[in-house]
This record gives sequence, C-alpha cells and structure tokens, in this order.
Amino acid sequence: METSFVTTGLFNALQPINILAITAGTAIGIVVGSLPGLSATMALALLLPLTFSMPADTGLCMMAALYLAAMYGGSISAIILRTPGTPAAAATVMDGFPMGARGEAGRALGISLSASLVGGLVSGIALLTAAPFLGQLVLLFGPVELFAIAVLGITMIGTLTKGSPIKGLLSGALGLLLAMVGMDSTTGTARFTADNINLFSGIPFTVALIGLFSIPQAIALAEQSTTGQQVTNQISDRILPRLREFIGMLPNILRSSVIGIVTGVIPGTGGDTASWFAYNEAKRFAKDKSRFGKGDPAGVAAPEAANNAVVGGALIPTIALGIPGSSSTAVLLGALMVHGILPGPTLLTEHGEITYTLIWAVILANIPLFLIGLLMTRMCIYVTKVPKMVVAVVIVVLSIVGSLAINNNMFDVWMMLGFGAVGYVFDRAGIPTAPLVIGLVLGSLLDSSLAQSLLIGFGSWSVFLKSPVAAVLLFIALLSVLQATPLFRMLGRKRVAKTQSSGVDA
Amino acid sequence: MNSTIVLGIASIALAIAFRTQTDAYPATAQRLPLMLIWLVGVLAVMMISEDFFRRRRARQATPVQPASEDEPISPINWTALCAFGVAIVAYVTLIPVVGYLVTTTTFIAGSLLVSRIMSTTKALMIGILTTAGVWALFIWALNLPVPILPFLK
Repeated sequence: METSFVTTGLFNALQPINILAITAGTAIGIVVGSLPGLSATMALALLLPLTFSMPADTGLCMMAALYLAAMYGGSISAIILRTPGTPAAAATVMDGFPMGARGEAGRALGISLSASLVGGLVSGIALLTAAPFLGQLVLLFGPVELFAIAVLGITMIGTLTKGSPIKGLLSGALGLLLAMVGMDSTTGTARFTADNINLFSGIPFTVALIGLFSIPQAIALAEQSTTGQQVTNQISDRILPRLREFIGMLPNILRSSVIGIVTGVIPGTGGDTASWFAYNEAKRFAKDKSRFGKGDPAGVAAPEAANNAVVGGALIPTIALGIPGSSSTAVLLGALMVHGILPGPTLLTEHGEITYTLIWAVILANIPLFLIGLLMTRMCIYVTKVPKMVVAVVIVVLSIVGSLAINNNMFDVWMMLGFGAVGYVFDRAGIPTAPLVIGLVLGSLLDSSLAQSLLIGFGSWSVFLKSPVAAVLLFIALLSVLQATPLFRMLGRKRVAKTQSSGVDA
Repeated sequence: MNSTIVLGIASIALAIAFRTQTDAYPATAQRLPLMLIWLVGVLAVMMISEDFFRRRRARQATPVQPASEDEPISPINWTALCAFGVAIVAYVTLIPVVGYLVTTTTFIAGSLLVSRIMSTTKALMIGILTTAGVWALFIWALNLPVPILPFLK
C-alpha cells in the first residue's frame, strides 16, 4: 500500500472545505433518500454538474457522502410511510414499519442509523485495505487483461441485474455501442456522428446520466401527482439506542456488514440485494424467528448495515479495476472522468491522491451521517410530505440547468431529454439502465484495450488465449452469459426434475 | 405493442443505422462497433422472442397469471405524461429565447397549477422560490453559464 497517498488522502479529506462538502453531501443525501421515488443515483447525477467548478477532491467528497447518506435516508420513509425511500431500504419496511406502528419509530430509526454507521465504517475500512492490494495486482495487467476485465464487468452487470438477463445484456451492449460515437482514438475517424460537430467528442457521459436517471423519475412522479403521501407513524420516543441494546445487536450488524461488502463487490448487485440477503441471514441466525416481520429490531439493523456496507464494497472494483459495479459508482467514476481522471489501474497510482481522498471521504462521511441523522431525522418526516409534482418539476429544472451548464450548449439539453425518454421506455419495459451507463463508461476502455491487444498479437485474436489471466476472465464472462440463456435454465430444470424423480424412486 | 417490443425494434433499427455507416471507416475503427452492432441485433431479437414466448406461456397457463416475471408496472397515465412532456419541451425551447428566469418560473407554476394540487398563490410562490434557489446555486454561486434574460441583450 502506498502510505504517502493514504496520508495525503486523509489530509485532503480533512481540509475544512472538504469537511464542509462531506457535511453538505450528507444532509442532501439524507433528504433525497427519505423522499420515496428518488434514488441515490439520480441525486448523484444531478449533483455532478455542481461539482464541475469545485476542485476534484471536494466534488468527490460531496458525492461520496451523498451516496452513503442516501442509503440511511431510505429507511426514514420505510419506517414512517411503509414506502422505502430507496430500493435498498425495501427490506427495512418488514420490521421497521411494525416497530413504528407500535410507537417505536424513533427506536427503529436509531437502530437504522447506528447500523448504517457501523456498516459504513466497516466497508470503508475494507475499501481502504482491499482496493490498494487489488490495485497493485492490476498494475501487472496489460491491455489484454484489461480488455478481459471490461468484458467480464459488463457481462456480469448485464446478467446479474434484476429481471431478464437478455434485457440486461442488451442494455450493456447498447451502452457500449453508444460509447463508439465520436472520434476513434486509434485512427482519428469520426464514427456515427452524422457530421454533427457536437458528437465529435462522443456522447457526454454526464448528459446521458442526468437524462437516464432524473427524467424518468420526474415523469413517474408527475404521473402519480394526484396521490399524496400519508404520514402513518410518528416519532414520539428517543432515537439514540441504549448502549446495551446496541452491543447486543453488534454480531448481527457486523455479519450484515460483511454481507453488504461482499455483495457490493459483485458487479450488478447492489443495496437491495444485500439488504434482503442480510435480512434473511439475520432471520436464520435469530433464536425466535417468529418475531421477524412483526417489528424485530434485528430486522431493521441487518438490512441497514448491509446497504450502507455496499457503498465501500461497490467502490472496491470501481477504484481497483476501474470497473463500476453499480450505476451509483458509475456516476462517481463519471465525476472522476469529468476532472480528467480516466478509469483504470492508474486510479491508485497516477491519481492516488484524489482516489485516496475519495476513500477517506467514504469513511469520514459516517461521522456526519450519524450526527446529522440524529438532528435531521425528525425534519425529514416533513420532507416526505412535499407533493410529488413539486419534486418532479424541481428535478426537471435541475436536470435542464445542470446539462446546460456543462458546455453552455442547448444540444446537450436536448440529448439529455432524449436519454430521459430512453430511460422512461427502459423502465416501462423492465430493462435495467445501470448496464447501459456502465457500457457508456467502459466503451472507450474496451475500444482502446482491444486495439492495443490486437497490435500486441499482430492482429491475431489468439492473444486473449495466450494470457492465462485474460483467458480465465473471458471464460468466466462466457459462463455468466451462458447461464443466462434459456439452454442453461432448461438444463437446470431437467436436473431438478431428475433429482426429484430419483428421490421419489428411493 | 408493448414497451419491450418497441425497444427491441428500436434497438434493431439503431443497429441497422449504425451498420450502414461502418463501411466508410478504416478496418481498425469498425472492428469493435461491428461486433457490437451484431450483438445488439441478436440480443434485441432474443428479447422480442423471449417476450413473445413468455406471453404465450402466460396465456396458456391461466388467464390471471401476469405475462411478465418482473414486478407489475402501473399503467401509463397518458394525460399526465403528454402534458408534462409538452411542458418540458416548451420549457427547453423557450430558454434560449426568453431566458431562464421567466421560463423556469412559468414552467414550475404552470405545471403545479395544471396538476391542481395547490392554489395559484402557492404555485407562484414555489415557482419564484425554486427559480431563485437554482439561480443562486448554479448561476450566482458557481458562475455557470445559463442565459438569464437573453432578449435584453
């Protein structure tokens, strides 16, 4: 581990301006997370243009804090309204709402906050420990291996995201194809630009992000504008849990944190998968399983520790390999790209100062999250009462002004709206947008590493089989695609049927 | 026609549109795009087929069984979608002509009034306050270039 980068990163993160950015990001994250229908990714995409004029480390500190805080924010509406603020808080509803219904909303929120704090800290430490080691390993990789990593990343994200794997893979392939628009880095040829000068530098990543994540949510909110939020539970008890109760829950919280980290590392799986996984494990380990679903504090602590632990876990492949594991980490990577830092193994070497500042921001953001969470949780209940149409129009205004501010070009605004329309149709068709975004990020890396690999191999594709690492990674990618095909599902069904029939015979 | 089929056809159309241009590029520049064009085309056909077979299976099984394995999606509120869509397009068209201040206030207040969720005074107040807030953040504090009142120039 490069200790000078670690200390410089810590020093940077502790600068007053960065502490302020972390605090502001935390406050925004809690508010956004508490609003049902708004995701952390959308808030990150809208915040991205605001960070253009900030130093790279300050902008990243703010975004990392927002990402972490939105995970906790989601539990507020889950406990109060029975509606998860973010998909990652869906499992919290199971026991959080019943706790609130019996007058323990404050206790439930306090447990959620404490579990989030531990989950965030543990995953931050895991990130600080694991990313540099992986980063060292990646330094040994050349373009052949990088190409294989990018292929594996996109296939895993495509096949592991929610819904049909074919839809996920199509979304990723479309993202990669759209990333081909613009000047080819090897030959200088303008590709798929329709002679439009605005497209010569490619599709602006930020514009696509804002459109894909903000406009569909604004439209969805506008469509439901007549239905209001009903605040069901009230906070009438103390929020901070007692030390004895907290210590009693620590094994569950720590186990859930590990689940969150591991789930976060796997591309395509996010906070929602981790929280359900942790919830089920908490239930499995519980002495009295019958209390789950009726307001068991362990059913709040487990998903909340896991979804906050996902943040650090998801950042491990993002930072070490330059492969974002989720749409939120893709936005964070996009923020790095805006400041001229390209994804890849150089993140931990050439740009080590900035990257370690981001890592420290993830760790340090847990402190303001806990303090602001204690102060703001009661206020957030009023935020959830804001009419959906007001939230929708504010999102549209921020999206339009944000995309206009990038290059002061109306073409970007229209393109953002175009991506917004695509995102809306994707949502209606049940196609995940995360692989599309990750395809857009990885497209140029895939293109350049393929060109370099084939140069190394004198134009022969066997270069990918000569490198054992690349061959193994590509084989795993092939398996991940094959397991998503109907053939594998059919084989699986036949195997189950065979096992059942042999069981009956016996 | 459902959204999956619309998207499948749109993806095939995009792949064809891109394919018609690749021949003009040098071999190195068309290598990865060509692979991706084929991949998009094949996956789009697979997605349409999957949707078709899933619907057929669902029809054959029971009439109440949902056609998709995914979570049920609420039906489209066409009135709200069209009205909001038109308002957004009008807003973006008018920004370079009328400027940020007037268009943003009108867009916010107008949308809130049309949705009939609050009084005119409240809608106007929210419009003015939000416009001022976004102006303070993006234009005044961060000095980002957004046309404020271009017709005055």
